[in-house]
Amino acid sequence: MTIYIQFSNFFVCEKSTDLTALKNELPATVRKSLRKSSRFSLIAAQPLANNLNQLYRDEMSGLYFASERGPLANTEACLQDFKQGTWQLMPFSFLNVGINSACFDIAQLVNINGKSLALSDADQGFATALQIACNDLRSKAVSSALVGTVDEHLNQSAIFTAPSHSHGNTNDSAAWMNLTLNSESALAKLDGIYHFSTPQHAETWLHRQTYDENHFFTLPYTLKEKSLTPPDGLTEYQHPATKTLFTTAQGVKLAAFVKETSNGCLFHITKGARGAMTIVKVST
Amino acid sequence: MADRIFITSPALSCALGDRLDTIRHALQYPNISIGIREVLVEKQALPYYATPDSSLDSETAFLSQLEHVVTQTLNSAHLNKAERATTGVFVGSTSMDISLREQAFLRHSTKTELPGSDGSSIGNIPAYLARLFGLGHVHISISTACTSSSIALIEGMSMIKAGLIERALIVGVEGFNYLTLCGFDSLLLLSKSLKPFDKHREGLILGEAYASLLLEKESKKNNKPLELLGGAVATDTESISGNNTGGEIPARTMAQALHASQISATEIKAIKAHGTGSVTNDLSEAQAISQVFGPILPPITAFKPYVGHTLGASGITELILLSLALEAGFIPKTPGFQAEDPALKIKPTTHTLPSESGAFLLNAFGFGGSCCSYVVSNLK
Repeated sequence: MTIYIQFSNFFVCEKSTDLTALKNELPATVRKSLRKSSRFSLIAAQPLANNLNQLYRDEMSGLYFASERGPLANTEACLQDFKQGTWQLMPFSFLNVGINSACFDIAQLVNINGKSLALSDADQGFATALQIACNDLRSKAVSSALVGTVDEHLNQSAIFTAPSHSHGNTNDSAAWMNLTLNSESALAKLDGIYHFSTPQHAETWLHRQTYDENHFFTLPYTLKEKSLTPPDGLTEYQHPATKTLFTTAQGVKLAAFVKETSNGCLFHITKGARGAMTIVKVST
Repeated sequence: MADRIFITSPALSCALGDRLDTIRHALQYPNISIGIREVLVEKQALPYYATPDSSLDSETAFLSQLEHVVTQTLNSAHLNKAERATTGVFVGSTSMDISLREQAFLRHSTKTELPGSDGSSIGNIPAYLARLFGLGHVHISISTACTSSSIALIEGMSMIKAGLIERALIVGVEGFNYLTLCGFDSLLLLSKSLKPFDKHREGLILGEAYASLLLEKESKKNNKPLELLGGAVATDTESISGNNTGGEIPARTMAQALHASQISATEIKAIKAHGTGSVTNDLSEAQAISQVFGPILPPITAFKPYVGHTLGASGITELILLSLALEAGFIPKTPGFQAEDPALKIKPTTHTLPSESGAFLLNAFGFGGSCCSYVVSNLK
């Protein structure tokens, strides 16, 4: 059963972009419904809010939301209050610490009452969310799937460690794709999602594929200095928006390729914990 | 023929204890003062269902209790190295590792990561367990508030049926942390007593729990494991902190779970309600149950008066409680229930009942409008 990508979009912003600026990017109707939402939710909403009429959805549509750290700025703000002796939280300060709250905001924004779930799977949360969505589409648990990934920058985090290779320079980002079983008007075909227990297994598989000049790959930053060498003839897909992203960037690269490339094929390589690898293959 | 999925090798640490026989005894002969402690927050004493080795007092208790239940599950299942390597890990939790991060930050002004982590992520617990126990390469953390471990169960089943893993380790974890306790206090949802579906219910009491089980196509040891027949997940976008009191989406979720399980409502032998004891959520769940089951209801039981509301861990914590009771042939009563609420049209069982063989419906509902229902069977 073939899965098609009907919509793809992404958003990247500077860490200094404040709540008001993010709200101002949204249509007035959306701004009202997200008035109590976190900065994290507003980042998540950006790629969708101006494109609601492009999304395929009905009462059996599903929402799959991946994040590596969730709304960490809100979590840290609560803990900082505790540290300073203020134990009385405001209700929305607490509600906005969960990734499920942002998932709710998006479900409300796009009007999805079917399945929704928020998940985390290290650097490959977006690929995992895509896998779960594909399972559900094939088993008819959902009729269409909106799959997204969102993370905030880590620059001054008091509770999370920024990746060493980021050199303290990370940005906020979000990416979304809309999947159906319908080929009509599709942007791309999701050819497959392949899982490997080690980078070496992924590399062996990649070397067995055939390529032409329209074939590209993406690599996670955590693998760049390590042990996966893509085959000759496969070109790395570069997108300027992803230069200062180190985690969710994986999802942004895939969404950017689907949105901006015609007649191409991407091997989107992601790395999970303990060396687990996932390759998402799409053709536009 | 589709794969049948069985629930095996349960392990649990909760306010009732960390031994299954002790927990079963407490369900059969309830004493609801077990495990309830008071946590002092700014001169205010908040009741809390703590585990015997609570992370309330110890910085190492979170990991030791987590490892303890998973060790029990894996030892009980007798999985060899190759079988462990084809086991996916699914963790359902509301607060994930915030207990550790909060303690490190508040007590020592430092950051902490789970030992051996190769990244900084709320999704590190499954990978940590996989590394520690030699488990497979599927590691997923689900964080959908109080439905988290229930949805982890559904996703584990889905991944087995899709052929991506051979079996799934499902873990529900909720360690004590001030962020959650103070957060619920800010929402005015906490109460001094927990009375699901009671006319005088006033709210909930939180608790901590560490729960673990396997989903397998067959069981090496247990001759009569529960079978997971099917489940459903839906989203109620009415309010971030509660479902529509009309119960429409929860009712749809239950109906879809029955449909996915190929079971009719009349075949359900008992319902394990979510039953938080909060005014509006109990109303929503009661309306939904009435819509699906009509006037002739199976027995309804709610477990939170035994262990508190263990949030993301509550799904499989309460599944394990039900399985322990069914194994011994009874359905536990719901302690604390005294007065019927005419607005609800349902009441939980106030007496321990003998259990029948058949299908049982379990509900979980959470913040963010998350609704999850699933059906298990103890027929062979």
